[in-house]
Amino acid sequence: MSQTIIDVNDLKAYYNIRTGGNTTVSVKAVDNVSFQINKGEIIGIIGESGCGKSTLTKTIYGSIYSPLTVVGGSVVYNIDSKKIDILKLGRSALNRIWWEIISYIPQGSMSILNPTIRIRDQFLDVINAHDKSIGKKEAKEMILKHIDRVGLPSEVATSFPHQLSGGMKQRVVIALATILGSKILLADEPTTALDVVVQRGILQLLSKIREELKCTILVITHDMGVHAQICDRVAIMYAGKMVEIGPVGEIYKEPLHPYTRFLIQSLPKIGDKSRKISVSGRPPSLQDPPQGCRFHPRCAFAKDICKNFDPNIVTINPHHWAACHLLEAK
Amino acid sequence: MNRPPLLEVKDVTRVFKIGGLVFGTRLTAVENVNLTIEKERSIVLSLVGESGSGKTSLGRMILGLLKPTSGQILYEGHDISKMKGKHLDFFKQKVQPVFQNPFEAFNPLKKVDRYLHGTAINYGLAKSRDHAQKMIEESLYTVGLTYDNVAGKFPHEFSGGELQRVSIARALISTPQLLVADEPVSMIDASLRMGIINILLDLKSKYDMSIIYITHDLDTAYYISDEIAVMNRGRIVEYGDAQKILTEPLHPYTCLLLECLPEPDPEKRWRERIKFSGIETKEFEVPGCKFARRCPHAKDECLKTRPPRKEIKEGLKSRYVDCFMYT
Amino acid sequence: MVVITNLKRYARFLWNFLRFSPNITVGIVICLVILVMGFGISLFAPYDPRRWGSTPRNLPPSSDYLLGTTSIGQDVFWFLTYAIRNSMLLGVVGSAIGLVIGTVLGLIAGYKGGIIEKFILLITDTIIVVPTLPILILVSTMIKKQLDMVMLGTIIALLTWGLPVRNVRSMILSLREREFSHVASFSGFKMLNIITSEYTPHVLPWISASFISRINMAIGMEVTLSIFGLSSLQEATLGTMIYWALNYQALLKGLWWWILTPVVTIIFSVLGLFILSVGISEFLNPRIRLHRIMIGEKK
Repeated sequence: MSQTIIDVNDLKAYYNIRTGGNTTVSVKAVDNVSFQINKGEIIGIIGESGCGKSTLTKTIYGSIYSPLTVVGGSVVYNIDSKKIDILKLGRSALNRIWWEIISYIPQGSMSILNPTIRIRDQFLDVINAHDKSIGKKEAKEMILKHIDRVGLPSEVATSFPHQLSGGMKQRVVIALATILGSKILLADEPTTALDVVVQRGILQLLSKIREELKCTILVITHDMGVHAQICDRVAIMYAGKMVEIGPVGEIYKEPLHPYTRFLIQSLPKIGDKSRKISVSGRPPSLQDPPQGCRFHPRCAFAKDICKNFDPNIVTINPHHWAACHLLEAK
Repeated sequence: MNRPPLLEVKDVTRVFKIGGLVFGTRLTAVENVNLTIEKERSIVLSLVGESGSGKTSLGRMILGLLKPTSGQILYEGHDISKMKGKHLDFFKQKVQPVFQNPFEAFNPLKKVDRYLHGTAINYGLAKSRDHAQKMIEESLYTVGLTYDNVAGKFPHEFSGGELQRVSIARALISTPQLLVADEPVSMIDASLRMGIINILLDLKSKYDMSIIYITHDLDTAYYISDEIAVMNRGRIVEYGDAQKILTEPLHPYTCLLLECLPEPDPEKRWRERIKFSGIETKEFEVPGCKFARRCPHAKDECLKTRPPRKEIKEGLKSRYVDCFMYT
Repeated sequence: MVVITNLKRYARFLWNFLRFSPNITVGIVICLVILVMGFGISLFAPYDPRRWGSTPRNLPPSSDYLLGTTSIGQDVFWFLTYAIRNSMLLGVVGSAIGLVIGTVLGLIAGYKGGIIEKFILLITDTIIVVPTLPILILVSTMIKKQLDMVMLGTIIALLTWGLPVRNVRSMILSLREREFSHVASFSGFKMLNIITSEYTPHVLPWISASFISRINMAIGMEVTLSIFGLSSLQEATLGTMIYWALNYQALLKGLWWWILTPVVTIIFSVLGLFILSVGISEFLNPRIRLHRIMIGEKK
């Protein structure tokens, strides 16, 4: 029986931006999203740029800075039978949770490594910031063991970031994120800008971490191949809404939502020279999303009802649902 | 066949000095590369490899943005490093780039139509303002945009996909014969890539243009290419017909690249763990085959001596692979 | 009609500029005060404030003599207005000429490269190494009598054009590697067009900040020279004011208005110019400019 480790309910997170003068513009990055993350799974979120997936992740993490505001809903962690309402916590409580229970690896995080400090010292900084009782010698041992566990050569500890390649740096960042035994990892585009071979290494690393450290991992990427390789479940987001979620096998074999179907069909494959078409048009502005179903302007199957009413969630089986009017008919 | 080839890369090598004057080392980014694109056939030639394979440096040398340390790059028989004045202008019209990051390709403080008008007018291609306007509109139409989409806008007002299309449209205005596209879709969302790739594919037939497509993504390379050159640490390790090479690869490195493609099919997951490459610069220093340290079939001689070339005849097309396994 | 809409646009731009940050507002206000004093009010001087004996001596500030009088019989207030004018003139001339020379050479060195660059750098490094103050002292001792403000400014410019060359060159070097430079080149734009159209907006913040800080530097040099009695002492400048005040022992005699006026004015103007330069480079910073374009001005 899979246990829910994070419960997101009716979450609404908007960016309220003051554009000079007295006008405020509301960018509805996350608009009424609900889903659960199960313990020990790798779940992926797919979506185009600007669909709100990074904002969703930041909100789940609790990193909410103006102009981002949570307008409604809740995010509750379920750790060791304790419920933690992340949105209600203050800065010091969040600091205790961050990196010890949940870690967030933002996009382009290879650049967060301080170029003037050796890798080992960056680990020491993190450890000291959280637990001053660990002695230096003990910490160093801990670091070396951990580095070895994630498959990095031991020379990495004494290197500077610029001596490492992009892929290596990304692995270091993942190691940093898990050094304090964090059980939940939120990885935003962990393999973008890395080439295929390195990407495979990183994805393998994430799988390994899930197995050996018993972590739960949320991976955000717009690359469908990545999801197919490591995720157990996949969620698809579009224009601030979650439009489909389900086990990876079902999503790829029988995608329900037209957007998901389009995403899968547009992928080029070796051995297949047939013409592929990408989704036409561009994603809608989150300030002023289309009426009704947000995908309807680009959907080949849009009906009248799609233009006026927001689709309801249609549950196909307990693990797989999609929000689309076309499914309600069945 | 008496006409000189459109592009000839002759034994080109490029060495970078990294580090300071005293303690620096030399990095051979491109080593003894030979490529030819004939004038009559418009083809798409892909340069594929990981980052650090030298494909981007080679692309820059072909565009004339970087000078080879040795070897020559000939456009229609003329050495491009010796081109000056009108001849150089002609070269820049006929060989155009499309860069990876569309937001870097345009000056963020300038409106994008400046470059469109510039390309039409600066080379004397347009006889009047109206003529320039027409040329621009035609170009934009090819990439699926209209002048209104583009007029008076700054780069940040576009999405990545749109801006890349504008980039391509700009390159088309001077009716180039060779387009050098350096990872044109790697910064664009996977779902929108095919739109741009299809544009490039259609250019080949519509405009009688050849394209050098630099990428690390083999899926799009398969979709679009006629010929493919697989590069590893500066050397071409396998070359030939794209379809053949990607479906029946010979070189172990090509096999690795294909294996590492994340297939969007959960039933076909990776089974083995691959070996990580160590500190990169060490791989460059190997005197023999640069892939030997990671190769599952490597023998002693692979590390010490440069692998010999095996040529494979397949009708008119040439194919070769540099590997001890085949000799 | 077009003229009016353009004027309105400029007016709105100016208004946005002035409100942009407190640095700019404060800086502009201070500079305006100084400029008005130096170039506006000075025109109304009832007599040549440099003439000795035009007023009774050693009088403290009063309604007749706003800032008192000196031991030589000069009205401090009117003398100040002339002094500000001359010092500013010198500052602007010294700063502008040096900046123009340095920027042009830096642009050429950065864009052309090769032998030209090496040659330019050779001369530049020589100029940078030459110590400005000692040379200034030398020159002014030699031609003390004929040293007027413009000439002094020019000499300062000729000694200080070195640093801008290096700064501008390094900016151009990095801009040259950015992809939009290549795209501009493939769009047929030539070197001159690229430098003026593409690079200038990126280089402008530095140039404006440099211009203003160089004014401060030039004024500082002049003051240093004058305090030692090495510049043309008949001229009215902030530096010569201090010289004469010290010469007549204004401090010991308790003539605080004579010595304090130039000192406070110098501090005030240097500070004002500095704050303004900080504000301007914030305003012109390409990233912030972009932000402004994105958010407001388009409406």
